[in-house]
Amino acid sequence: MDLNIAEVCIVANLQTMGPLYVTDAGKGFFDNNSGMLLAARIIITSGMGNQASGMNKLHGPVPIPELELDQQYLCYFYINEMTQKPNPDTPYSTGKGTYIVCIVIPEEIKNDIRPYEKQIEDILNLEGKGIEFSETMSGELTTKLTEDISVRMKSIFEHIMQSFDLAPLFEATSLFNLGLIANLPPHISIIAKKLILNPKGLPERDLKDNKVVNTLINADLVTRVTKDGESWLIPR
Amino acid sequence: MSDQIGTLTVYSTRGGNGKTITSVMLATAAAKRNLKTVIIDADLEAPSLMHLLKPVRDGPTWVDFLEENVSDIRELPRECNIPNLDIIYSPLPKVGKNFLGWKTKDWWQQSLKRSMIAEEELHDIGYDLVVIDNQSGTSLNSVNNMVLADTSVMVIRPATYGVGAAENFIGEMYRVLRDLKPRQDYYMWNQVHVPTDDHESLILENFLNRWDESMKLHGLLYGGKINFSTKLNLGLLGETPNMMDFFEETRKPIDSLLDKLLQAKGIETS
Repeated sequence: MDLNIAEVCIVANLQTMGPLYVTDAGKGFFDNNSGMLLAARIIITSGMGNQASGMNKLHGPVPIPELELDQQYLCYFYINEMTQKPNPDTPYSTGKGTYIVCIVIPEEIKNDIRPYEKQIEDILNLEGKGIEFSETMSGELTTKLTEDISVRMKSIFEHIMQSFDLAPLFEATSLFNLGLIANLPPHISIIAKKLILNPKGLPERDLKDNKVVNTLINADLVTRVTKDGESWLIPR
Repeated sequence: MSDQIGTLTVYSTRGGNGKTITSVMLATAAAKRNLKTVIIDADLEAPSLMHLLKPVRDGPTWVDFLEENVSDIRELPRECNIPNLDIIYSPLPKVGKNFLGWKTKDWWQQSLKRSMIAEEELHDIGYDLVVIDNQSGTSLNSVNNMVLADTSVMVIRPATYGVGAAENFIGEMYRVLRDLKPRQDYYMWNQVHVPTDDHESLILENFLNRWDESMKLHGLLYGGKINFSTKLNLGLLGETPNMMDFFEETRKPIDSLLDKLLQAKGIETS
């Protein structure tokens, strides 16, 4: 199998949004209606851990309806490689010993995570696209690729955890929401407070943290305008 | 007078504690010291300033500014018969199809933004002191107005049910407010029974000591005590209460509180 052609799918289907194609989209890995997995050899996916079943099974996403885990993962994100057992009898299996890199969402936080599925999909998209396959030979997973995936998975993990802190920002409609301000991580709330105490705006140079500023702009809570040739930030 | 004092809000955990009278008295005391003062009736659910200081003319209201029907803050303040004191009124709450449901959370968030712009602009156009007669209780409006102010006075009539139920909220609210910006928060007892014998004195003293300690733990500063006044209470039964009479009745504790507020800002007036 030529990994340069069809080697990785990134699927983030935590609930009912349907398969999301990322890498090499349009090459027919999945049938949208059946959820059939055709040719991918590496699947980067995310699903909900299911302690209640007592069977250590990961349910979903669509192409992999049930995946047996080695142990129960409850209180943390599990990021590892697993091999999907060949099972030619099921239309959902490749039967090809596909490598699956999986982020398991612990059962306890399922409900917490559900409102943020879209953000997690975006993170998987963003990070997954950075995996470098160019040196991979057909039919095998090189050590370099495996390491690259491992690094990417750690990055996805960290990104998701950071995003949980930021999630309330993306749910909010205004920065003038005191409940929001009171519950933000300190490095964000210090900037947010400075902004709301200046309702007509501040020169961007007065706020030292570009990363936080960009997050607030992306969350549509701050508008960037130009006044007299200078960049200003106005809280919404 | 050129010193800018800042913005003061008068608050209480529930209605009937004397917020509006205290707001007017503090604003009057400041105006009498030549501080250019404006008082905002920000109790949008039960505005009452128009009953104590009757409008001398029609004009746009606080809500008009919050809803951006008016953009020039100078259109809002209306003069009254007390020199140096202007009033910004609020309209009576809407009834009909919008009764009790006319403000969403988004409305209040934008209202906070507009209020903060207004507060800044009122100082820009020359007001030394902005006094906000706040809504009582735990509402988005009352907390918004607490955010606007750099000084607050919580008015309490002595009754355990009046402060007890709100104690936890009070602690949390002031913690969040102080985290937002530097501020001074006071509490003031209002209409305190004047004891007629030792037994009454003991009951009152025990009550006040218990709650003074609690307020101190929440970081609130003692603002003073206004004793029960028959003249003031009877005066409120009339159609046109005389604010100057009220002022004379409460002058000592009100002046003393104003002294504290001004001293905290390093300002001396007489």
